[in-house]
Amino acid sequence: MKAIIKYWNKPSRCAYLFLAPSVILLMLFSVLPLAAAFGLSLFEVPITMNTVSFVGLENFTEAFHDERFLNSLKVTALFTLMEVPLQVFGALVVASFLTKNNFRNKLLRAVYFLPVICSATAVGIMWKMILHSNIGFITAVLQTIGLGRINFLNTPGLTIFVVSFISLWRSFGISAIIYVTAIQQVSASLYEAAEMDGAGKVRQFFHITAPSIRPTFWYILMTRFAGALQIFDIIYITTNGGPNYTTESTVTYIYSRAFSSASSMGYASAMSVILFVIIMAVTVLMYRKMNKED
Amino acid sequence: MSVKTEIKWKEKICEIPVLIVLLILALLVIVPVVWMTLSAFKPEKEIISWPPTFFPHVLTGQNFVDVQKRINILRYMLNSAIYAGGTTALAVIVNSMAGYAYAFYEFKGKSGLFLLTLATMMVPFQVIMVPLFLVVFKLGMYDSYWGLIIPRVVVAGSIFMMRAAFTGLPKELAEAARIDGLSEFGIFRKIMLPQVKPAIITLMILSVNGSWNDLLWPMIVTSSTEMRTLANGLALFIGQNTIEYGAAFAGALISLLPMFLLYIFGQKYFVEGMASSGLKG
Amino acid sequence: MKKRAVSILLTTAMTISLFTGCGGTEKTADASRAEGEAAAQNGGAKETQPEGENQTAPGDPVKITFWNSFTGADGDMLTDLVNRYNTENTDGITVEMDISPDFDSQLSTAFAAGTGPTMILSPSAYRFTYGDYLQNISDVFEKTSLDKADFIQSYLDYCSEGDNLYFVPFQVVGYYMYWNKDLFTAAGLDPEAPPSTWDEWADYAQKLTDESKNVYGSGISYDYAYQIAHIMQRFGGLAVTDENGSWKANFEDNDGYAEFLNMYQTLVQNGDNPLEADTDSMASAGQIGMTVGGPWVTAGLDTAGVNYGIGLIPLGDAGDMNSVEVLGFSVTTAASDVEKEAAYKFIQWWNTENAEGSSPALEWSLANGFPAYTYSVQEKDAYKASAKLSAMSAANPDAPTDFIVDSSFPGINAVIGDVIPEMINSVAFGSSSVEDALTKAQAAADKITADY
Repeated sequence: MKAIIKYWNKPSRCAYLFLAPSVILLMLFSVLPLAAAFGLSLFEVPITMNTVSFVGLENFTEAFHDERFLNSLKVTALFTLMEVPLQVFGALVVASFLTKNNFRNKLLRAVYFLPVICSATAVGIMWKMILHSNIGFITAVLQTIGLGRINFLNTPGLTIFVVSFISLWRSFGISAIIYVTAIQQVSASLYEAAEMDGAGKVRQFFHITAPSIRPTFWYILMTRFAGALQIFDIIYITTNGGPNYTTESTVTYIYSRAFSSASSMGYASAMSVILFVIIMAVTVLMYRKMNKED
Repeated sequence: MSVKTEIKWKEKICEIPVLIVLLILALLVIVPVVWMTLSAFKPEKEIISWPPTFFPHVLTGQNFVDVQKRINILRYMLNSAIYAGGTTALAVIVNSMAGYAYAFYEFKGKSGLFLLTLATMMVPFQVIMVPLFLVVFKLGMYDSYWGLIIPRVVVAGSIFMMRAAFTGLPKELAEAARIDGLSEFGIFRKIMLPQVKPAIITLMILSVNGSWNDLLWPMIVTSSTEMRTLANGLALFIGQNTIEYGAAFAGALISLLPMFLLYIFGQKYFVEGMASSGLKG
Repeated sequence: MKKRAVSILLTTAMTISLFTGCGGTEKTADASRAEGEAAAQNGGAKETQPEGENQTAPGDPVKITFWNSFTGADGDMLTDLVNRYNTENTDGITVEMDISPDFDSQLSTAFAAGTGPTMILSPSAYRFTYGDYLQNISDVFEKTSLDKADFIQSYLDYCSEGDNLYFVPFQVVGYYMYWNKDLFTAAGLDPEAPPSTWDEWADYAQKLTDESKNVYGSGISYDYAYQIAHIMQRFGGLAVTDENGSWKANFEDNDGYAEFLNMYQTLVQNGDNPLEADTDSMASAGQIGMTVGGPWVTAGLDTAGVNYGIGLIPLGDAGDMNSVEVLGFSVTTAASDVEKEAAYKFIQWWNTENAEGSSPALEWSLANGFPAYTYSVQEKDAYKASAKLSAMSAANPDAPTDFIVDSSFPGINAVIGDVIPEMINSVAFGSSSVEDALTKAQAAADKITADY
């Protein structure tokens, strides 16, 4: 018994013990279904999966000739390029002002956190109502102060920005708070030493805060990135891809192919595989960079 | 000395624009939320009206009465609490252990395993939904709390977050404890885990919040109405062709309140977490 | 080295699961079928056993599950009626209803695993997606007191494939015109004389529009394919028809469709029709002169206290029509014979009059404004007295009831979900001309018809 404990107590071995529960659950409930879904991309299969016929790479060829799929990739890329940098850097800047646990900061943190805990559905219909081109509260206010009637949700070219804003609005609070917890973990003595050296707040931020919270920065960057490339719920509720498909993200389109219209699980899977490859490629690049820094 | 006071003075000046920006952000957040809150107290007729109103002309509690009449709030809340509580309790243990291993140990296949973990968050749920359901069904967990909870415990993002939190800690802490004769698990539980308290609180809040607002999974994995969660119940006010805005907003408030209290409570612990991690120096 | 480890891990996992995953899926389907048969046999056995002893005793308690997607206010009423059945019936039947905000996800996962509810309530077009999981219930008229002759045949046709009946009609959804009488008066129009042609519609729309008040005359949403389809059909007939046994799409060179798209484009360009996805809310707020929608539009208008009228959608060149969708009860393959019989009893109760001469079906029609699917309900005084229902039932009873495509065309979802939205969006936002939009729609529809 003791020997067993001793055997596993070696740092290099006990890592596997620490990982075992998560890896087992992950294999069963994530990797296995994921692999199955990937396998399906080579088949013609309805949503209930009762009839399966092998079609090889046909679904992939179709995807690359599907205008709506290619358009959805463009929309997703645009959304990601707007949302992720603002989220990752904006939240960091905001967080750096909220680290002290005084009343003001606690209040502001609670306020910023509010949208995070609202259900996506409620947030979606709320924005849809207040930005309504005709009877929306914000639209009316902007009109009153002379900005004209802005059709936020029905203008190709504009609506994608609105959707990005709503998505940011909903989740920047949690990013900020994760940054705050990370910054709070940075040893206070580092700041004291810097203060002794006469370093200002800005220099402290770049020389102490930023390097110390690097792991958290990578965490937020990579998860937000994967999240943005899979944006679905906010779009589904507010615009459902409109107007004229200018906000139809890849997952919104995949969803409609899997369920709404001519249900084709194989085709939906094939598009997911393509999206997966894109996300994975960028993630591996970021992961390498992250490991180098660590 | 004078240099230092000058810096202090400069900082005070800098604080004003910062404060303005922070307030504008707060306003952007709070105005829609207040609009929604006030709308929950408006009659349906006023929510959809021209010209739109912000403050209610007529104050009514009818929307809350409607919600209360239509769904068994207490039963649904209990289910949500079981789902959120169960998932979170297990998630904290499993994900922080995994995050710790990725942050502190060197072992064969580390990168591969970690990337595989990350890979699981790169496929839309709608696509893996049916295969996942089949796994749960074959394991005999359909329509049970286990089926609801177990598949949702491991979240790649949470492992990543805990990894980030542990990576920030100095390795010397572990070395010192090892010399003192503490077992590896002992080091994790007694030395390391308390250091990342704020991250754990964040993980808990994220996990509770995620399950609390989760609509799809509880719906497909349970089949009896006694197993329904609050999020499912509230979705009933958003019809395919018509939306009952008043009831939907009232429901959203009812569902938001416990989460908000939990956050306020959790924030208190952020501070304590700070105090303990401040010791390490 | 590291890189290799990753790729090997990923590919092995994939290949392994590809086998287990797909094999598993097929097995599940087979296993479920076997289970279903076994259950059916058990059910049969259960029934034959007590035969000799006493047949008349109330059956063993049966619990059946019933799924549908009736979120919203009508779901509330459905819940009340199901509860009433559970307390009233003497057969020991309990109907456990589950209303789902994402019906497709719930249904597809359950069916894939070989489980599912006893009974569902859905559009009859669900037989094209879930047909393998729905039972033929044509014996419902033999096993219950329901009279087949009482059901309007064209609605039953919607629910059948050949001799097989998959749904018992539950509600008939037609689209109607609603006009705001106060806005008509304000614009100097006769509030009791809604447009009867589309030229009048366009003309009235211009008169009703009042930019200073944010009021639009015409409320046709570019994001509401069902609404567009009902209107479009008045102009140019069905989009897919049965041409000597093969499906033919009718977008290109369809003068009626071209005329509709031109009219819509003009209305939008003149500012008489808003570029807005959610026109229903505007109608409820009293900001829309005329609109087209399902009976649920009245709920919003009533709550908001709008003074409105209901009429049939103005006719176009395609002539008289009564386009509808039919929703119905159906029994899934997950149901045993005992459960199936219990479901029949519930369906029978829904359509049977009580001592006061009222039935749940009649109550449903009256409360929610859906026209009747049986002659007996149509004959009821209460039904005739309802102004809403009589306006909706004014359609020519002999007019064809197909909605946008031939009612037995399985690709209806793709036509409504993809072809029509793509067409109307490109026209509304000016990214293509009417001709190009129709050519593209034809190509897309040809691809769909080729699949069936």
